[in-house]
Amino acid sequence: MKKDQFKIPMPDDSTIVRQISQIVSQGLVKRESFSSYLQSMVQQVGWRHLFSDRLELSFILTIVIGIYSLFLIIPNQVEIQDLYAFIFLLSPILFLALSIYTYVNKTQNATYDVEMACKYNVYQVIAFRMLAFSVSTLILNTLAIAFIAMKFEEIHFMRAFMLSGTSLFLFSIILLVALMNRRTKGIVTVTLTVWIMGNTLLKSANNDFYNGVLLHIPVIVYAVILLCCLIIYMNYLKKLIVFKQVEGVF
Amino acid sequence: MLVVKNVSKRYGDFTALQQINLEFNTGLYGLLAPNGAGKTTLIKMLATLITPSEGEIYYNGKNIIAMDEQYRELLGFLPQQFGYYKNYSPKQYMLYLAALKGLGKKEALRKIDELLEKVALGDVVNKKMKKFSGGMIQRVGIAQALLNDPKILILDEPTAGLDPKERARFRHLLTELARDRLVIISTHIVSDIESIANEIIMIKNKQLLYKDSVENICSTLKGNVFETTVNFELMKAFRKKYVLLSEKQEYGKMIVRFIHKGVPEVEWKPVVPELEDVFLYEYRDEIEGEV
Repeated sequence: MKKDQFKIPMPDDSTIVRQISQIVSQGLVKRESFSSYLQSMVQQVGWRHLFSDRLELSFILTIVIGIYSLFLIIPNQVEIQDLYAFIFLLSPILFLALSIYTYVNKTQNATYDVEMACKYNVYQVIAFRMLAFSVSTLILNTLAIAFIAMKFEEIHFMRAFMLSGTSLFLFSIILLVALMNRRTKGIVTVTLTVWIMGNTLLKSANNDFYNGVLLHIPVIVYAVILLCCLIIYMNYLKKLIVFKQVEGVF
Repeated sequence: MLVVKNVSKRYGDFTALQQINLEFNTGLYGLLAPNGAGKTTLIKMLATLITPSEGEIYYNGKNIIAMDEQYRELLGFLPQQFGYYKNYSPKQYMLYLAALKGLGKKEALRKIDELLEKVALGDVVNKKMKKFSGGMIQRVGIAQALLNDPKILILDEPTAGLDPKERARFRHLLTELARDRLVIISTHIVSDIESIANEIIMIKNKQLLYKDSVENICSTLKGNVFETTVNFELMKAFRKKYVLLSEKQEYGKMIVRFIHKGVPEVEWKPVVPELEDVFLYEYRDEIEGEV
C-alpha cells in the first residue's frame, strides 16, 4: 500500500502567484481601452465608410454653413449678457443637428438589421460619429467665439469658450441619456424643447441669477464643470458602444 | 457549439417564445413554423439583435451577449427584410459591409467577386441595386452573409423572391456550406429544407415542438396518412370528418390525402408521411385561421 501513495510536490508561494497570474492573463481577454478601440475601428472600417452617406455629408455641410453664417449677422449693439446667453444656448445646436440626423438615419433605415449583425454595429458607428461631431462642433464653436471676441471687446474669450464647451457636453449627456432610454424621434423634440424652454424660463424667472451664473462664476469653476461633463460624456459614449437592443419585432 | 438554454421572450404582456431549449452543432438546421410563430424572434436572439427576457444563449460555453463583437465576427446573417442602399451597386454595398465586418479592402474585393459569382450576379457587380429584381436583391443578401466566412450562418426566410431555379441553386450552395459550419434557416416553405436539413426545429404555442431529423418527425404520423377518392358531393362531409392534407381533381372525382388515427377503411390507401403532412397537421388550427 505504501507503494501506491503519490507525493505531489507543493509549489512555493511565488510559483503559485506566478502561475495564477499566468492563468488569469491567458484565460481572460484584456479589455481594450476606449481610445484604442476607436483607433482600431478607424483602421479597420476607415473614414470613408464611417461617413459613407453622400447625402449625409451634403446635409452636414449645409447645416455648418447655415448655423455659422448667423454669427455674421449679429447686430453691433447687443447686451453683453445676452451674447453669453446666446453662446450657452446655441453651442450644442450643430452637434444636435448632426447627431440626430445620424441617429435617425441609422436606426430607422432598412439596413439596420444587416448592420447590427456586423462586427462594428450601428450603435458603435453612431457613437464614433457623435464623438467626431462633438469635436468638430467644439472646434467650430471656438472659431465662432474667437470671431465674436474680436467683434465685441467686452467678451472674454476664455469665459465664452468654457461656457460653450460646458453647454455642448452638458447637452450631449442629456441627449445620450434620452436616446438610450427611449429610442423615439419624439424624445429628440422633447430634449430640445426642455433645453430651450429650460434656459428661457430660467432667464425670465430670475434674470439676475441666470446672468450671474453665466457672467460671475469663476472661469476655473467652469473648467472643473467642463472636465466633469467631458468625463461623463465619454462614459456614456462607451455605454452606447456596448448598447443592446432589447425590444424588436415579433 | 450553440446552446439555447431556457430562453423566453416577452414584449410587455405578450409572450413570443417560452422556455426554449436547443442545441446546435455543425450542419444544417431548418426552423419551420407558420408566420407569426416566433421564428424571427428566435433568429433575432441568435443574431444578438434582441436579448432574451429569460435564459441565455451560449457559443462554446460563452454567453453570446457577453462575447459581443467576438460573436458577431463569427456570424453571417440575412434578415427577413434585407435592406440596402438603392444607389449602391452590390460591390459598393458589400465593400461597406465588409469594412463593418472588419475585413481588409484587398481581401474584401477578392471575396466579393467570388461570392457575387457564386450567386450568379457576376455580370451586374457595378449596376445600381435600385434596378434589381427581388430575387437579385435576395441573392446580394445571401452573398453578404458569407463575406466573413462565418462559422454560424443564420438566414431568415432566405428563399423569398427566388424562382425555382434559384431555389435549387441555393439549396446546393447551402448543402456545401453546411459541411463545416452551422447553418440555421428559418422558413415556412417545407420544400426549402426537407431534402437538405440535418434536423428540423418546429415551434408551436410559443414552445419547442420538435427538434429531430425529417425521418423521425415524419414517423410521428406513421400509419395515419391515407389517400382515397371521394365523390364531389361527399367532399363537404369528408372535410368535416378528417384532417385533409391535400386534394386534387382527377376524372371527375377528388383524390384526397388525409390523416386518420384509428381503424382505416378498406378502400383507403396508406401512404408514407412527408414533412409537409406533419406541418399541415400540427399547424392545422393556425393555417385554417389564416385562411
